[in-house]
Order: sequence, then structure tokens, then C-alpha cells
Amino acid sequence: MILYLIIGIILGTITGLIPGIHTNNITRIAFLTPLFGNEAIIFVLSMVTTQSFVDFIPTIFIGVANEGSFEGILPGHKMFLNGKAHEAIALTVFGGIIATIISIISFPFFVKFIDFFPTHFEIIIPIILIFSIITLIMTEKTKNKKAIALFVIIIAATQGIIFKEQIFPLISGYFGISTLINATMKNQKIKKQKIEFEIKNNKIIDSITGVIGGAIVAFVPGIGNNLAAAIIKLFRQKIETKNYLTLLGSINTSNFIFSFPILTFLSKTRNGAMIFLKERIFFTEQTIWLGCTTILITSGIAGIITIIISKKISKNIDKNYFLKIQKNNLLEKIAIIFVIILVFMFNGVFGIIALIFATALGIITINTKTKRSNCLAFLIIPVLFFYLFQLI
Amino acid sequence: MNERNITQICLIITLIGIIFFILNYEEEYTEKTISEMTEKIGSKGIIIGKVDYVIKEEPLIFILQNEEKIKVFYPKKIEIKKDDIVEIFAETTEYNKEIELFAQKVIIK
Repeated sequence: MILYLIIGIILGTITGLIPGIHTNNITRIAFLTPLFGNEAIIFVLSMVTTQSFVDFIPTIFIGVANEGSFEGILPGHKMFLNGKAHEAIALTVFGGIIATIISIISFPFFVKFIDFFPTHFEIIIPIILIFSIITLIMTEKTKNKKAIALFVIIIAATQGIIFKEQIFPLISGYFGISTLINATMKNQKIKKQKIEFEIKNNKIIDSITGVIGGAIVAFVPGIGNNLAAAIIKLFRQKIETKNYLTLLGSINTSNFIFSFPILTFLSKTRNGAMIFLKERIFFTEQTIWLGCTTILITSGIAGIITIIISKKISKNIDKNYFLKIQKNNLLEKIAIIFVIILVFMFNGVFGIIALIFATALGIITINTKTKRSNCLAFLIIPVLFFYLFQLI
Repeated sequence: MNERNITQICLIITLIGIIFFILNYEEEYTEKTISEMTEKIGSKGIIIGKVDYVIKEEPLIFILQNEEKIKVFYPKKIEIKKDDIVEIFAETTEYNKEIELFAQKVIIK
């Protein structure tokens, strides 16, 4: 059993560190193995839990988009440029750890909740989504910016519909490459990375908010981690960068945790890892206990691994060879090429086309100083259509 | 809260997880006979026996003989034939008022 836990943690760390590789890719391989029962639970849950923590490292340090954490690029990379990358990572770990504790404690309540509310979301979610779009436009300060926001929303929504299966290229374009190109143009310099930090206890509130977001993401089809975070951000207008990272860490982890009771009690799956479990385990009381203990053990270990890796990277950034790379913005250029290669590997030529269009739209939002969140229409509008068609 | 505090919380969570794991962990599959398995619906166990008769190849349905006979359902494809010795990891289920085994894994010995 310990062996499967270790393998799960190692693979979760690898999938978290390499953008574009999702646990879904690993579970595709797992389907070829004879893993089943307790072995499958321990392997899969340790892998997805670890990935939900490590996921933020490439997002914050190199500004490369990851499917579960792309909303963290802008605040996280901003902290990185200000020499606070390690603190940004610690905030997401803190969010994740608090989310683990609250999610495990709230398991029985969550089970009662999913029993009680089988269909109500089908009416509530479209209303929230329409309200989010209106809020996105209305929170722009001038009329001119409101018009540009509307334009961005329409284009992003169109891209979301045309490039339906190209989430990685789209998020890389909107939030990753456009940011990296902007950094290259401005010749931004990275400050010396600080290792020490102090997290205020009030961040627990953001973790709790994140757990609610994570529970909704796990339960409601079509709503992803980032969309939930963006909606919460819209409703809490003055959310600080640090609080937002805690919130993201919390949503990312609690979403994975809650998808397990959803599978156990409703037999519904929201990701590849849970599809694998659905096929390979018998659901008993023992299954739930084992799942909870695996999540607890792994969260603690994954939190420590993430902190250690982040600290190592932060310390190395200040070394000479990195400073050489930093001249001429070589790091950003390498990251751009890296993303293009990953997109081509995972999504082919169609992915590259999606990446070009998404990057262009991302740059438009930067140059017009409108909110980058407007690009989230690529997710919001197709989800809205999904719910509206269901109502019809 | 600094890095040390976060690491401490992580360690405490891991320790709590390990304690719960030790207290609640039960071996999921132990070796049983067909009569032990059929005592209760939902029993899990490992049964070693001989293939008596293959009813259907995909999904695999066959009769397993140990000290008695029972129908086994395995939702995947595996090539087995009469008289093969197999080890199955299964759960007792009731289908059409008949007790049978739902296999999660079948190993040909």
C-alpha cells in the first residue's frame, strides 16, 4: 500500500510540475494496469491530491498556464517579479491544507447536501453566469473600456465555442504567453527572491470560501476551479492578491477532495482519475475511510514537497547563472518556446492556431488595460449555453 | 504564520492520516471458499478454483469450481478455457435472484 502511495505522490509531483500534463494523462496509462480496489484508491487519490498542490509552482515561477490553476498566473507571477514567489506558493499551500481539513470534516454534511439538492443548480448557475458577465463589463471604469470588455467577451466566447477541446492552448494564450510577451517587451526585472514570509491568520476565511467554491466545482457540471475563483473574485470586489492565491489553492484542493464523495454516493465523475476509480473499486464504508485517510496523509506530504521545491527554486533564482538568463529576458523567451512545444505536442496544429488567437486577445486586454478576466468568457458562455439548452 | 508553522500543520495532518489509516485499515481481500463467500451478499474475497465451464467470453461469464460451484461475472475480456486454474478477486452479488460473484480481477495460474 505504501508503495502505491509513494508512486502516486511522485507522479502527482511530476504532473504538477510539467504544464500541460494532467493527472488524466496518467490515469489513461493506469487503465492499462491491473490496479484495482484499495491499491487503486491510494494510487489515484494520492496522485490527484499531490498535483493540486504542486500545480502552482510552474504557474507562479514561470507564468505558464496549468489547467487547474491558470487564474493564479497574474497574481502569482506578479509576486514572483516582486521577489515573493515563495510566499505566493506558501499561500496556495496554506489554502490547500486548510481546505483539506475543512473538506474532510464537512464530508458528512456535503453528502447530505448532495442528496438534498439534485437539480436546483440548473436554474441558479445560469443566473450567476449572466450576472458574472454583466459584472465583468460594469466593473470597467470608463465607457470606452466597457465597450472593449464587451468586445473581448464576445471574441473569447467565440473562441471558446470554436476551440472547444483546446483549453490548454486558450488559457496559455490568454494568461500565459500574453503575460510573458508583455514582460519581454517591458524588459521587466525579477527582484531578489525572499524566503521569509508571514501569513496572516485571516486568510482562513479565504480558505473556507475556497472550500465552498471547490464543493460547487465538484458538484456542478461545467464549472471549473478557475471559473469559480473568478466568480468569487467578482463578488468580492476588493480581494487582495494574497487572499486570492489562498482562495485558489483552497478551491483546487477541495475540488479534488469533494469529487471523491460525489463518485462514492452519486456515481458521478468529473475527471479522469475518478472515472478510473469508478471502474476499479467496490464502494463500501471502508472505501470512504481509506479515501479520507489517503487524502489526509497525501495533503500533508504534498504541502511539504511543494514548500521544499519552491524554496529550492527561489534560492537558485538568485544565483549567477539565473541572472545571466535574466538578461535579455531569456527566461520569458524560453518559457514561451516551452509552451509552444507543449501545445504542439498535446493539441497539434489546431492547438497552435487556438494559441495564436488567444494570445492576441490576451495582448489586447493588456494594451487596453482592461481586465484579463474578461477572457474567461471562453468558459462562461459555453457553460451558460449548456445550462440554457438543458432548461429548454 | 511562517514556513515552519505551515510545515508543522502539514506534518500533523499526515500523522492524523496515518493514525486513522492504522486504526481503520482492513485487508480488502483475504482467501475464502465459495461457501464462506456466499454467506453474505457483499462479501469480498480471493478464491482459487478451476474453470468448470465458460458460458460467455465477453463480458466473461463462467462457472468456477472450488469445493462447490458458482457463476462468476467479469466485465472484461480475458482468454480462459475449461480446467484453467484461476485466482479471482471478487464480491458476492445477487443477480436475477441468483447468488454469483462479480470479479474485479481474474488471474490465470
